[in-house]
Amino acid sequence: MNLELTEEQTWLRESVGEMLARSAGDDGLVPASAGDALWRELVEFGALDVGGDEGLGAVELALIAWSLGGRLAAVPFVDSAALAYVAPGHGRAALAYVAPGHGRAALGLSEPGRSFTPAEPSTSLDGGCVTGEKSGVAFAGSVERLAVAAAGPDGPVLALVGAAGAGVSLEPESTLDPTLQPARVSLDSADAEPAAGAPVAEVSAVAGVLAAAEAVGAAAAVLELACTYAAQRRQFGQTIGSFQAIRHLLADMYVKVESSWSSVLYAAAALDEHEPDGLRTASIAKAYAGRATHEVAHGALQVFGGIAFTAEHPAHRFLRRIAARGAQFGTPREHERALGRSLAQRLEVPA
Amino acid sequence: MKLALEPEERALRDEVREFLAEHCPDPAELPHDLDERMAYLRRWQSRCYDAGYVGRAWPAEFGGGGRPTVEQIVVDQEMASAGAPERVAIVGLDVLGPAILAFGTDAQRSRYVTPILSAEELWSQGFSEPEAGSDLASLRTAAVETDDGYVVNGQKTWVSWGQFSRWCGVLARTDPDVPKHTGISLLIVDVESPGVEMRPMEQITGHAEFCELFLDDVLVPKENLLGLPGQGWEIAMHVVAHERGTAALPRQVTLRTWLDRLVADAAALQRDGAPLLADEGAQSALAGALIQIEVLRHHATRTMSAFLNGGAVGPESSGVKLLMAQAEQTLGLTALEVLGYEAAGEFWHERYLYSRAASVYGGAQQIQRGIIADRVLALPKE
Repeated sequence: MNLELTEEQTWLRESVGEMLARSAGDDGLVPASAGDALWRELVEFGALDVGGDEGLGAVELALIAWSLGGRLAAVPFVDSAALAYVAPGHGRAALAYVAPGHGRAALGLSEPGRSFTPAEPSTSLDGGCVTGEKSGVAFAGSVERLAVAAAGPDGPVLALVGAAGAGVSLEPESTLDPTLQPARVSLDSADAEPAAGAPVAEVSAVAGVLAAAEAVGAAAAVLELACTYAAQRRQFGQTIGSFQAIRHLLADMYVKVESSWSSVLYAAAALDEHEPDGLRTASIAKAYAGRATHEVAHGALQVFGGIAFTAEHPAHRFLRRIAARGAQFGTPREHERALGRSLAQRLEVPA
Repeated sequence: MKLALEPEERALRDEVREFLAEHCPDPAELPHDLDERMAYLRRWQSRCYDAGYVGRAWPAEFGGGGRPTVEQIVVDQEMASAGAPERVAIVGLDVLGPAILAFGTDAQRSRYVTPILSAEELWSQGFSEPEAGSDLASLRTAAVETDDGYVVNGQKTWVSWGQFSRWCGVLARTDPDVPKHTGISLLIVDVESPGVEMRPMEQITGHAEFCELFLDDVLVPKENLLGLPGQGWEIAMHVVAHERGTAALPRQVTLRTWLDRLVADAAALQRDGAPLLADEGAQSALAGALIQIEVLRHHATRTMSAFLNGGAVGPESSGVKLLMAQAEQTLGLTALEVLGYEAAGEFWHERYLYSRAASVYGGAQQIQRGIIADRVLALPKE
């Protein structure tokens, strides 16, 4: 029962932090133009070397996602790492599985017009061909490989599809966070191979935890900016951070950031240790962190006041990223609904 | 980072489960009469102490088990999970006992610690006053040093279990001439001394778990000073911060058993001819309560991990305290919303009413936010 980072985990977080600091601009954020170079650096560093005795687990992947969120880096880490996590084999073999070459993949787990139920897809896999539609596929246009949930002959599977293959068409979607470049993916008898031993529920859980980790990293960063601002900005002849209304708002935001992070780490550790309720814990973390980080972003906008509503100020970029990651892989509401159903089912008495 | 228990901890957990399977009292057995109930709870704690389940991490030379702190957490979680009765000596176990161990003399440790563990002597804390609640440091109870000892005069309130306590840890002003936090000392007051009067107060739950305490020229021997003169505030804040951190893990287990009970209660009900649990609104409300309780577990585990690895429990424990109140209050209100405000019945009415105090006792919500703003976020002072 220990949720403290090990020395290796602390080193990992510091190393990724330094890498990101080098990529960042004057505003402390990683510009979109640095995305490709940062991705190569992350892959060379081993950020996708998952599994085995030496490799990374969900906890380590969450630490990396947290760091990326703090600098609003726009790289397809969450999806690629989640796929690597469930890949057979480990280390570089897992990376090769995610996608040959650059190792970039995007997950297609949501479908247009449907609630988030990745294990009940209407997309189908039949005779090596996949047909259906996926929505909200982040970075779909810049990855080598798509991994989509599809109904196979023996139940739901993850089907691997070349992003540039025949029968695959992309259409950019409207989004709160354009840096994630989400697209609707239409698959019309596209060549696909089923991903062996990668259950849809597990990849969805890991992806949800990593998306939440990125959102918590972003929330922690925007909280820090808001605290700094509150300690400098003066109104009524004093710093606004000395007003109780602002102090208590920031204190509540701090509790939301820290408790979200605890929940994400707990869920990641539960997945790594194959705890029996690991999937449920992941759902709880995704639901909670989604709402809590969103409230932190709203609180930060309130503390910054009018300046937060200028395009130049970074506050809206944090808000956009946090909202988009919160909605991905199941909104808080969808996870709450699913948790509520399972609570009811476990104890429902026959009428 | 590792969630799973170590083999030794697992073995202990299994041992406690076996003990509880055999000895855990049925809640229906608990006497309704408060005096009888207290006697019953003392016997229960004493039995748990004999089995090695109370003060497991306290020093062996003062009656404790001398084991790692994590073992007490394992025990407490199992006790809560089985719905075992609360530890009746809670104020001694969570506040004054740790204060005596950390700040007391060897003579004080030898005298007071073991009877806390065995529930032979119960303790209360005389901290709050009618005019010093959240602003505790403005307390007025005065202790004047004489040749015979301290002469104490004043009034205390919210003295939990005061009427059953043998000793009371009283914060009193020993030096009126220094800034308010620095002139306070912590005195061990013999409740049987002349001039001490405990008056039970009825709470909104109908029980009388706390008292007003009147101190009228009470003579307290000098050897009953805990720590140094003027150190009282430091001691009180130290033990209260510690308690905020350690109480949460067993508390979340208790909340979880209550949530299970709530789901079971809801499962037995119909509304408009359909099972209540089939209602989407009821399901989502229950999920909301579940999420709060589970996140409390996650966050308390992380906060306590830092402590178990040798760190101190610092101002971050205020975050745990805020989440604990939120989880308890969410559950209390959810029970009423799901089962019906009136139909929920006595058990849930009591849980609900008691839950409202969770954001007041042990330092109000607003005090916790202030601690975080000052000591964690280092914001400008008000």
